Amino acid sequence: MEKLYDELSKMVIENSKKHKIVPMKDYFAFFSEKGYSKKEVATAMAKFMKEHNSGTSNVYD
Amino acid sequence: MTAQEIRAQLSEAIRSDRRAAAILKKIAAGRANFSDTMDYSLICGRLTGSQLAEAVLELSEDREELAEALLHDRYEDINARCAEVQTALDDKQGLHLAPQKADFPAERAAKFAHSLLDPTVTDETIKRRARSVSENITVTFHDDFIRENAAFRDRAGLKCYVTRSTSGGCCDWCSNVAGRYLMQEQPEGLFRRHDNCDCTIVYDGQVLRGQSGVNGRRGRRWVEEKPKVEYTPPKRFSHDEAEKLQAGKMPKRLTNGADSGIISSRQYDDILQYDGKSNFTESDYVKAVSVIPENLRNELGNYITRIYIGKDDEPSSYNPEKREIRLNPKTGDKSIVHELGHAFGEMYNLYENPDFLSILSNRLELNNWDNVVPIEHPYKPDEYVYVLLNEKFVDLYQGRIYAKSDEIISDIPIEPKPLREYISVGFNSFFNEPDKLKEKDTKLFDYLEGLINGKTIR
Repeated sequence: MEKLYDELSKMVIENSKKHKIVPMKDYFAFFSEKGYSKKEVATAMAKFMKEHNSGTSNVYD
Repeated sequence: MTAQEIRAQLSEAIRSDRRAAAILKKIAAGRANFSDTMDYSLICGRLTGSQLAEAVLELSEDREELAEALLHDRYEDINARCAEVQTALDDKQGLHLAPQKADFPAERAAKFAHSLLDPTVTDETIKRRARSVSENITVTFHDDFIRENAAFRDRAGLKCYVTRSTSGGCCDWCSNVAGRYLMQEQPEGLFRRHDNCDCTIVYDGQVLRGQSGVNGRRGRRWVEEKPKVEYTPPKRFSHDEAEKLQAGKMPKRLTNGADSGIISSRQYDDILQYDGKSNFTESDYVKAVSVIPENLRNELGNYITRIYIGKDDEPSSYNPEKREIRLNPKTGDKSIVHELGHAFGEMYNLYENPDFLSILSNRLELNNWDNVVPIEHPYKPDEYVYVLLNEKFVDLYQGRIYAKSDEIISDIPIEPKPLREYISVGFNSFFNEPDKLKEKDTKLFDYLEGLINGKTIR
């Protein structure tokens, strides 16, 4: 799972820097070929978002 | 041996009796009934009689005092055990009645104790009295408890049956009186006991008794009498009163002008706190919001508490709890209408409005997270947010989901309410690029147009 998380984090950051719009279904498909389930990818993504978010305030940007 | 030592010896003898110990254990566990306490009383009576008979001749002056003290000890002990059993039985039935303690038969005990000093009888007679009478009195402590509590519960409305059962081979008197009786309907002498009598007297069937019937007799079923509630007919409003009441509960309409009396005199210009620490002048901000009709501007001005310039590294935002708009000094004039859009959505409670939520959800794929994209926050470097992709959105940010970061689960539906940028981006587009909004999301455009021009009834 650590390997999945590292690889997914790297991809999300790179895609975002390049302004590439990559939806979750593409991440699911990509990692599915590597043997990971949708649930595992979703869990890794949730972890990434949790570590890259200042919190869930009720303020709207 | 002193009287104190004899009392302690009797207590120890009772504790050492295996049957008594088993009963005490059962009582402590809450599993005993009055048959058990009856047995316990019989054991106590037997041991008290033998202990006193054995010691009575050794004592001279203390004889009377010892007899009374031994009886009083057993009186306290038996009443305490019975009370424990009564409480446990009540708990099982959901009753909360304090066990009643019968009076100590002081006169009878005193007479008995004095009889042990009778100089006119033989020592054997004294020993027989000490044994049989003390045993009898001890057992009657249990009978007194049963009588007292059965009578108390009968008065409290419980249906109590008193049962006297013989152990077989009993005397004719006991056989005649034995049976099961409704409390207060028992034969005279039910609670009496002769020497060496080991009849068991208990009560049971604590059934709540019913109300009196028309014939004055009490029924078998308990019927709870409900408190009478005075009937108050519903208030009938006139047409005008109903309309006025309804109007008071309805949200304010945008077309209410300052003359309507609903909107206070505070206006948009009053809440802008321009401190000069911005890349823009105050007139830039005034000009930016001039696209919004004056009556709506003032209505928003009345709803929002303040608009202020924040720090360079703080993105523009709207705080719905404080009703504050914070503007980034570098992007303020472009984002002010956007933030007013958030306030607009809150002011009209749109995210609780089924019509609005229906327009929001229209054409969106909310069944799963397949079309959700993690992107870097446009104004917060290294922070990531979720946005939902859809061609009806004016820009990518309009699909932002204000979800908790760990909420993503691949196969659960996305809630529409966290898409809070739908209204703010839509509101800004409605005024600044209406053609684009009309083309992308006609339903939202029409809805906003109706709302802002007062055509939509909310």
